Amino acid sequence: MKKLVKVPLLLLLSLIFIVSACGQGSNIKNGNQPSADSGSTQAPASDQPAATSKEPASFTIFFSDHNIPMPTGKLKELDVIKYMAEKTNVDVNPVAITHSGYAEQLKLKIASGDIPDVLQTWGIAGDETVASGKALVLNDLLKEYGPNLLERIPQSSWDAVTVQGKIMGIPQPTAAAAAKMIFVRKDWMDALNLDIPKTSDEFLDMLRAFRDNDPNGNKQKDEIPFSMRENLSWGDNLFGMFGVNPDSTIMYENEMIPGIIHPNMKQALAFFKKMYEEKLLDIEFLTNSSQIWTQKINSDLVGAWVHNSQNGYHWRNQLLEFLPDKKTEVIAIPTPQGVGYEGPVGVKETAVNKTFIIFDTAKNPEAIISMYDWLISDEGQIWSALGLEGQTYTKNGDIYTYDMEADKAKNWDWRGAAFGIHGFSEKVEKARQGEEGFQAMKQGIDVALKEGLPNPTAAMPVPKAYNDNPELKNTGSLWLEAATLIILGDKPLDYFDEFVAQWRSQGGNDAIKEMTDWYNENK
Amino acid sequence: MAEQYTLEQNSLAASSMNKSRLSSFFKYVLRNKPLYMMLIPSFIFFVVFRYVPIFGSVIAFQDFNIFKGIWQSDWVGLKWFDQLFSYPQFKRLLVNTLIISFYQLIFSFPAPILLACLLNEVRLSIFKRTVQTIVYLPHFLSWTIVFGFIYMLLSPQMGMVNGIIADLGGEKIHFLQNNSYIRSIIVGAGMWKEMGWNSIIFLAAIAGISPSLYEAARMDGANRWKQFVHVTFPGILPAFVILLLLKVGHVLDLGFEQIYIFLTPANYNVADVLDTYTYRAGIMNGQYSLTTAIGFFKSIVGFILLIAANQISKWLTDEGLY
Repeated sequence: MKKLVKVPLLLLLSLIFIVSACGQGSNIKNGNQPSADSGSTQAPASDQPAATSKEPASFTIFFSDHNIPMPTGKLKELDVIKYMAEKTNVDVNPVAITHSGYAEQLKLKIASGDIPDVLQTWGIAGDETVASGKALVLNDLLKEYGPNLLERIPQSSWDAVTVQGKIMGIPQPTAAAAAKMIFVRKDWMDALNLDIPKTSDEFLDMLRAFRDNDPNGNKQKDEIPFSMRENLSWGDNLFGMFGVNPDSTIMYENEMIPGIIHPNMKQALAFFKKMYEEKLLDIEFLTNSSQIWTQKINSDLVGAWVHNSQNGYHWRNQLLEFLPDKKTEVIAIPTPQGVGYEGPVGVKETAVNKTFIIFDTAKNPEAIISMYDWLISDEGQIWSALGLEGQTYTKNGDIYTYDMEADKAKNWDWRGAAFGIHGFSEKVEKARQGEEGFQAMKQGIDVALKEGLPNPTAAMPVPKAYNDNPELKNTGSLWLEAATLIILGDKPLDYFDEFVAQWRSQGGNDAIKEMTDWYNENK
Repeated sequence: MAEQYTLEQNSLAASSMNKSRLSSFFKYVLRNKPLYMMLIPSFIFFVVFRYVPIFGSVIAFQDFNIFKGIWQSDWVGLKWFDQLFSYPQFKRLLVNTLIISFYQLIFSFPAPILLACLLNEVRLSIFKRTVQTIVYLPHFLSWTIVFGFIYMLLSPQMGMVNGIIADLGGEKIHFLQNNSYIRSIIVGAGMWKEMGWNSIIFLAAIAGISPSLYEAARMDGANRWKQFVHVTFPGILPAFVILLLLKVGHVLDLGFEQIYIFLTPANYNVADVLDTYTYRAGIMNGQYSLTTAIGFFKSIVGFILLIAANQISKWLTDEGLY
């Protein structure tokens, strides 16, 4: 009898499960997509409509709503959009497509002949418009109508959307191409009279001082000089001291190879091995989850760690909250130069957030570019990030006060998804973070701007060899296991050569060939 | 009511004697309509959730593409099986799977039986029930939480066990990173989590033994140990055999989460198993066909083992699944 009750119950539960699972599906975010609040918003600038006397040029933009609630009715009728359209003398028709299933819905629309003039995407690597040659090449148009764009968007972002010298879209840059930084407890450094380390050896000396001199002042030797997380993640800048990252690619002896098999990686692993031997590396680096890692930092145990470049404000707030009695201070330091290595240091540059692709069927490409050109001006940035003066922000001299609640209530806060083209903007972030939070954020970004490893394969699709054998990737077991065993000292450093041979023979050579060919065709 | 029912049944049964067996079967079903209707949900459950998905296994023979779906994906024959068996670490995966499974079979499997028998001997009912409740609570914790406990016990930085070791003047041991401990920790954690829950079925089996048997044994002068050996143990043997056979059928399924939370690149060597590889290849890298092939392979091995073990069991003990 019990069983008979149980089965329908099970059925019911399964149904509920299925329904809820489907519900979740619609919330899944695209990993590449920047959240709308993180600075993707943008405003059109006021100055220079392409041709003030002409009729406004009309065009359509398809963009992902990035899961922001959209207002009902026509978006172009909103005051905030009208304002921008007037400023730039365009008749723009933004069409939001739900973020989940964006790619599929786009395909459907385009297949049924509903072709926009502008299409928002992320990187151009997997984009069909580009692949099928439907994207307008923008080089000449940009020179003529997009001087601000060319000036304000860094070359690395342009490179990431350039195939064989042809610019295929307008990229929205990241705040800093070097997206990760080493953060250090400045108060610990001050307490021990340490300077910012310039080389990997000085970095080790700093960590040794953290280890031995009780900078947290609890009379116990419990300091963890440097901490990172499971699967060798969040140690990127330390690899980067030697010019390689596990996820970078690099030209070496006429081959495009991944960072994990580059000879410099051996030096980097030797460095990690030394750190582990001397107990400068968190001995739990293999098991640290993000929670445990955060907890260790917040408990005044960790001296240095790697995190996103713009997250200085985040750590400042965290430590203020968890260690209110201490005068904590966190700074980002430039990635030290690896001893015995000359060349760029830091993490692989990721240059692009979103990309706007213009179709070759667009009638007014010059008006479109002029609009984005205005959007990246100071005025345009304020518009897209803060909205309209008096309605969603107030301006007092040079001080902007943003009213996020009002922006949300008016249903205007989606505009960055379609019109955000600037990366990090000082005014905007000041208004959003407050002065001190902004300074903490800015410090990391300033440091990050001065470094980074070139990413020659930014626009490259994933090589087929990686899809066939995912274990070859830098998240696969081949690399992770070899690197870990070397760091722990279970295998000698020269095991690295064995790993490289193994990696190449298990399909790695195919991947190298694909990447090299792609690079030679597209550089 | 019951009487009426039986009478009706009898008369109908008599009148249908000459008809074919099939139609008599349908009549029988019709007559017992309410009972069969109650069977429908579980029937649907098994068809929808157990049998229909079997057909999904065909993607093990395709180069499955989520955009093309089952119907449009290309057929590739045994490519994925080929890739699986020629995967350089395949032997290691299989060996680790079998070793950990073997540990589970000899340690985790008998543990609940032992617990059930021990609980059965407890006289004080309130103590018995309290213990029972406490030991089956961990079953409701997620593996992530279990890992949290184990981390707090064993961590060299903040763990209790290492705290005690250090206080006693010993050298701290990094248990979670030491390959000689990790399998024991995995099996031990599983045992701690599921032992109490799994003992329920054995407690039920013990409760099902007729008290008259114990009475008779006592009359014959059996002490508690003798009663256990000659009454309790034979009484739970059928349940024991059935569960053991089912377990043998799942020898390649270790439970993904249980291993995954303890897995680090440093212990791939001893703890990377088929289930964790499936996760890495399938979920993280989208190799749906390859992982289906692994699942298929596991099912076939399990099926063969189940049949074999069943035959052996029938031959040895006269107990079996069917």
